[in-house]
Amino acid sequence: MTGNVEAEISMKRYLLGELAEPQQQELEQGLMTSDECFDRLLVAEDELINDYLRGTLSAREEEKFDDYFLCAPQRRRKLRFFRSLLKYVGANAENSKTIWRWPEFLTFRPFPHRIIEASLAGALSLIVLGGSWLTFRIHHLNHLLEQARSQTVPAGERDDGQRQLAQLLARNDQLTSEVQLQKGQRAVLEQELARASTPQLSSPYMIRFAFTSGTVRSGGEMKKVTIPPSATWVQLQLDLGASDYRKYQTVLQSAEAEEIANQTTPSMKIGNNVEGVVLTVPAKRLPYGDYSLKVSGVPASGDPENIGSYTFRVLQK
Amino acid sequence: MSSVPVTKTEWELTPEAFDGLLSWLNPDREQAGRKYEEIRRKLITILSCRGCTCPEDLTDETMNRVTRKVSEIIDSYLGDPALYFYGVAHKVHLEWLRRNGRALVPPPAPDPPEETEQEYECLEQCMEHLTSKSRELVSEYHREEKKAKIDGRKKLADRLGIGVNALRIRAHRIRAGLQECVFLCLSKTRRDEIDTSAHR
Repeated sequence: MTGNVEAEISMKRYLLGELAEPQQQELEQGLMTSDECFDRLLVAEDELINDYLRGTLSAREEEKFDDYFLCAPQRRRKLRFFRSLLKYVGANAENSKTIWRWPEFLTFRPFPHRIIEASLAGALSLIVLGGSWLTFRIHHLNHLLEQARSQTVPAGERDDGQRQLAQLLARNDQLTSEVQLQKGQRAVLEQELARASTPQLSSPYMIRFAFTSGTVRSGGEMKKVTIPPSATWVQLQLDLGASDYRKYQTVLQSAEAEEIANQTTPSMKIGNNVEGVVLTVPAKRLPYGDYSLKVSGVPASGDPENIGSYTFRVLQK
Repeated sequence: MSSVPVTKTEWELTPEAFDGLLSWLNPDREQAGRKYEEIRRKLITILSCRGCTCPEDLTDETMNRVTRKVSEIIDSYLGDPALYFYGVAHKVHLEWLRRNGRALVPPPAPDPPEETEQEYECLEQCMEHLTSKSRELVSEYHREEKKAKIDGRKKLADRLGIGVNALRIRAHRIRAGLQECVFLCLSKTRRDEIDTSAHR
């Protein structure tokens, strides 16, 4: 227990930049080799942010938090996220209702085979037809109900009529629930069908997109790329045609002109007698959105010369 | 300062070199990919903890340098490859410090109200995607303050039949998933806004 407390204090000091170099390196080596140790650090980081926002840090700790801890942009994002989270928790303190969810057995896993894909499509069609039939039946029953209401019922038959009415209402409710259920199942199946229709990757970690000159440079139609969730890396391959420069500078920017990657490298062979440059970026850094890829040739002397801009859109993963 | 270009690497990360690195990390490609991601994530965190303003750039530089070196060390290096990455990252960080000094960045300006609002809306959506158990756990975990917080978490851990440390890690993992969800939601919202204004 004492060991845990000491480790916690040490991690807090590390996060605030107060640990001496030898202890810091020892701790960092532990972080690299032990997942448990790393998890503890992430938890300590969260706790520190939580305490900061709750105002429970000392004045000195608060100062270190502002001046040191918040240097990294990731931490500023995390701080913003925590602000929203605490606001949400405060606003929903009394409202922790359990919502209804689909049971596990109805949440299908990815289907790699075309046969299953076709089966899903078949099932979906059946559900659509079934749903339509149920809707028709509900309308029909509603019509009968209206008729029953409008008829003058002799006093002796009133009880029977009321019973029938109750039965019809119950049946109506049941059919409405079935339609809702069918609609839910249909939505799930549609999602699964869409997922099953996405192309499979040759490698689960790296996906390549080739940009050839003339088709995607600025002014042309925007290339759309879909990055599957399983891809960890995205490799953007730019065909340069004939390579005239010693080196090439490649800059990848988001639509908001935020720089995502910037590299200067010689060209390389990317095919038979084809020179090109390859830019590899983590898939995480390419969320849904528009991007531009600027390529400049770097001469032996002088400034880089613009060769072209390639724009593309990353679609929803 | 936050997007300081790192040293100009003269060497290109080729698919072949990347494959070499992966096979050094693990003969199984899938596990190697996971290990690579794990090392990258840890280095970014460590460099952030060192007060670096561009931890991702320095990590990418580290990964590139190790990839370049891997063919030379693969037969002779003994021990956990993660520590080799750590050693290189340490060196890359020292070089960065020599170039940039230990200048501190000013505290961030308050977020514009509309961004805060968007983030909150995204969080609400993401909370709805959680299972009811996870949503309740994360809400209850953050509900109390100070002494009540400690007692509240102890009770919550007892109710779930786990230790307080396991509870903290569980809450952290739920939050990490939520944060990722909020990030994706914000990107989509901003994208939609740009699309809408472009169509006007």
